[in-house]
Amino acid sequence: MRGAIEQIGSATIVRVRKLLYALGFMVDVFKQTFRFTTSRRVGTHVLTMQILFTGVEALSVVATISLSLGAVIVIQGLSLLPQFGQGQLIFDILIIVITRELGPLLTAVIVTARSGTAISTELGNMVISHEIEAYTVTGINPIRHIVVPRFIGVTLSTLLLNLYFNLFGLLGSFVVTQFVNPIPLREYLSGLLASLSLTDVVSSVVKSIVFGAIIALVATFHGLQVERATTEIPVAAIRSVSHGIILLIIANAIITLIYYI
Amino acid sequence: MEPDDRSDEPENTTDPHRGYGDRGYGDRGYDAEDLLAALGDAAEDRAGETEPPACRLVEISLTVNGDEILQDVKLDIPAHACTVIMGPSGSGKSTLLKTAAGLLVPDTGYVEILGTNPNHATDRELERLRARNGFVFQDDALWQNLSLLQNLTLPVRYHRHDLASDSVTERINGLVGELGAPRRLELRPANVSAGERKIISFVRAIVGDPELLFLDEPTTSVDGEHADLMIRKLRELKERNVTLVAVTHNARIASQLADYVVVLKAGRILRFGSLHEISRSNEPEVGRILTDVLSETATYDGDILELLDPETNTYLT
Amino acid sequence: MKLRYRFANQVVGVFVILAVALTVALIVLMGANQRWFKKNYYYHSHFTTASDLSAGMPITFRGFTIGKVTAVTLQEDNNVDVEFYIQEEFIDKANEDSLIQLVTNPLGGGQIIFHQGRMPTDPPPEGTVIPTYDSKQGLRLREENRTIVLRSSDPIAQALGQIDPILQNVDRVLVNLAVLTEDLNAALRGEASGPVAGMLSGAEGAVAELEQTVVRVNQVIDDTTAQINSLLGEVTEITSNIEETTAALRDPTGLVTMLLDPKGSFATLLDDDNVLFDQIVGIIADLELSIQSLQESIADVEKFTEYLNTTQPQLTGILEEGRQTLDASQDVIESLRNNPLLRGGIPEAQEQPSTFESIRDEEF
Repeated sequence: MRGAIEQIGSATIVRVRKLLYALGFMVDVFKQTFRFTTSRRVGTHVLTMQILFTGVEALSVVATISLSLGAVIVIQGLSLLPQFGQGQLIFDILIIVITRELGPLLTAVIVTARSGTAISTELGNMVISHEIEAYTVTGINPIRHIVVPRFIGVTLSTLLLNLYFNLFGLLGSFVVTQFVNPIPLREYLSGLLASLSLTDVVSSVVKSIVFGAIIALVATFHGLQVERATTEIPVAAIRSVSHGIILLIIANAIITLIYYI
Repeated sequence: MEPDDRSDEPENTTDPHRGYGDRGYGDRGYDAEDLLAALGDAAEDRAGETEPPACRLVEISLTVNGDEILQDVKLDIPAHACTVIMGPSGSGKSTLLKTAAGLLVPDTGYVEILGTNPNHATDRELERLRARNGFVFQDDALWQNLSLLQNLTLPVRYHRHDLASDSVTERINGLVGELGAPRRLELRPANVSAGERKIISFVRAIVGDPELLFLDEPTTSVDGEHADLMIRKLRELKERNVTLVAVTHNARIASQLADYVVVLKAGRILRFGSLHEISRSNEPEVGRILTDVLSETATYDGDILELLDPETNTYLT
Repeated sequence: MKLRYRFANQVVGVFVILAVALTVALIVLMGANQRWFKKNYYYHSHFTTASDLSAGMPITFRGFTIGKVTAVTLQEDNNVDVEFYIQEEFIDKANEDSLIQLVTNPLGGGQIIFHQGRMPTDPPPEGTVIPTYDSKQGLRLREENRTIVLRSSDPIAQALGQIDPILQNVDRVLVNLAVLTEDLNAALRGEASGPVAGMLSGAEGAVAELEQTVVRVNQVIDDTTAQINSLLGEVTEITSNIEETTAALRDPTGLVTMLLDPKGSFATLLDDDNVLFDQIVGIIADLELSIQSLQESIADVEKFTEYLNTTQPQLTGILEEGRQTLDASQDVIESLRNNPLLRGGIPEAQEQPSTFESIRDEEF
């Protein structure tokens, strides 16, 4: 009995310590991000490459998914809604699904799967090959030089990808509408714009920024958690995906809740 | 001795406790004829006059995953000299070196590098301190995502804004030429051999003109010819009063460069003293360790300890 | 090295700029579409019940949405306060003596109709109460004819709306009858199976329905005529008004003199600060308004007459056809009744054995 209590106690202490450590890491990243943006000392090359890898190269995946998602919503919606005489609701559904919910979340999941794992693996490898130590000993803050460009790059890319997701999703639905029930672009746009509120846009943007930050923080954190064995690297990558997705869904629920309160 | 008190001290303050005067390690010179004299009382006097240690480790212990890697290590690494850390594999040499360089944070005790405790320094102080240090890793630890040239320029660019990029390039080319490093510096580290990477990582450590250079097996995977170039460069650095701290199994480095030797066994300092003192030590354990360590690289089949003694070592000269 | 990596900066630049530009464009379009930069003028109205009222309900004026309900709240005195706004571009339609009216249709989804005051004045100050159509104040405004009330669907539109389904109805009945008589004839020739009695009752039902329809058509036409008469009455009234005014204007001792100086003193005429002029202008404006509304009424009547004229032949044609069919069916029914064979019901038709045999049967 006493053993169990002790176990629970020590497990809790370990958990809390880990959590505090992670929070400390987050604070440090934020601090260094601020310094990164205020001083121009560190080259922006890493940042550019990160946006290229995370943003530009994921564009085709994002476009494909969002185009087909938009198409599916229109097909399903147009087969069901006019039966109740609520055809106009298709725009609201498009906006809720694409702009408010799935756009940010799906792009974040895509980014986690592509770049979260890549970053964890890369940083894990850097730890193993002492590259991180090499930065430290050279006096280059690894958080600022390694983590911050990835943090900014991933956050920015997630935001931009979400914008493209919305664009393609809403465009895709228009293209499909042309086959099912042709309406002029002008009418489609005005219907869409009438249903789209600034809150939707802000909510979507806030979500994708938060999601991008979560992905980057989780991925870099787990990457740097690697200590000495190469076998730790895949573990770090898996953790960064699973923790990342759990945190994304929780964050999504919280933000949605905040907007509906 | 509170760590906090220490860290607040200005770097130049003379410390009454500094130095292991009683062990008489005043010997900084390399010349053989000075060695005997150095062992004398005069050396102790000189020790009293010298600057504070380049690096001071105070009651360090370090545990990793339950293994005590370092236990109660007290060590003052003298400035402007070369200290070689020796010990059997797994004795904690690399850990000691990294702790001394402030890369590993000890569980107890503290480290002062050039008078600064890295764990209590502000970011800016730490940055300035790092700019005065160099570190050669056992593996090359080159940044894989940068070209060799970028690997070399990044530290300089980061710390020395005053240097024009022309003079940086010139400096790098000079060093690279001196050490026989690959000329195609636009390649990524993965595209050159391990030995070349090691040379580049050595250049990276010294390109910023460090005052204190840590070397973890600098000559592994480097062929003899290039190792000689490297040793020549290290001697030149030593002559320019750069403090060297090296972990090595290479008898040539030990005998040609070492002023002091630390003998480490199972995370404890077994012996610390001048090269002369250590090489003539009649403690059987020290002798055995040194024989074991040095025999890994030496092919000389005489008395292995003679290798370390510049007086008798004709092989090296 | 891939092109993409060599031009990493350019690629990323395009990627970022395109996204930002599209977002900015979207927000600008949204702003334009949703009138972010236009002012809304807020007013209140009081209703007795909130049923059929909801926030977001459009306020319409002559079919255009000019504003929206923003809030419906129950107040301490149990009045229902409705806050609504009128868009900047329509605010000049609002003036004193304006009214709002809640109109619901049975399909759900009501709207609030805005009735403009007759006098062109500045818009009422923001936050004031605009009376509702059914309130005392609204009633008074209507009685005093200070508000231009356009009914949501005017009588003519109503009448037209009523006639259309009736015509369709008549058409349907005629088709049914035609089918029936054909069937009956077929039955009499012994070509059809099934009870003739059932058909007969069907025919009778159809005839009854047609008769009813004809009655309804007549009723509608009567109604419409009454409405037209009332309209014409209005026209006459307006015309007589105008005549009166014109006469008064012509008469130097009549209305004008009274307007000029009720007390009969010419002194006021001389230093009147344009009072006289303003009054005359007011009268002329009134006249103009009357003439306008007269023109509208006449136009409405004309429209209706035109419609009647165009549809009359069709209508009479249909009715005529109906009558003919009725006659024909009556004849049929008559003859059926007189047929002794059919008295007391029609026996089930004898099932004739099929005389058709397959070619194969014959050959083998």
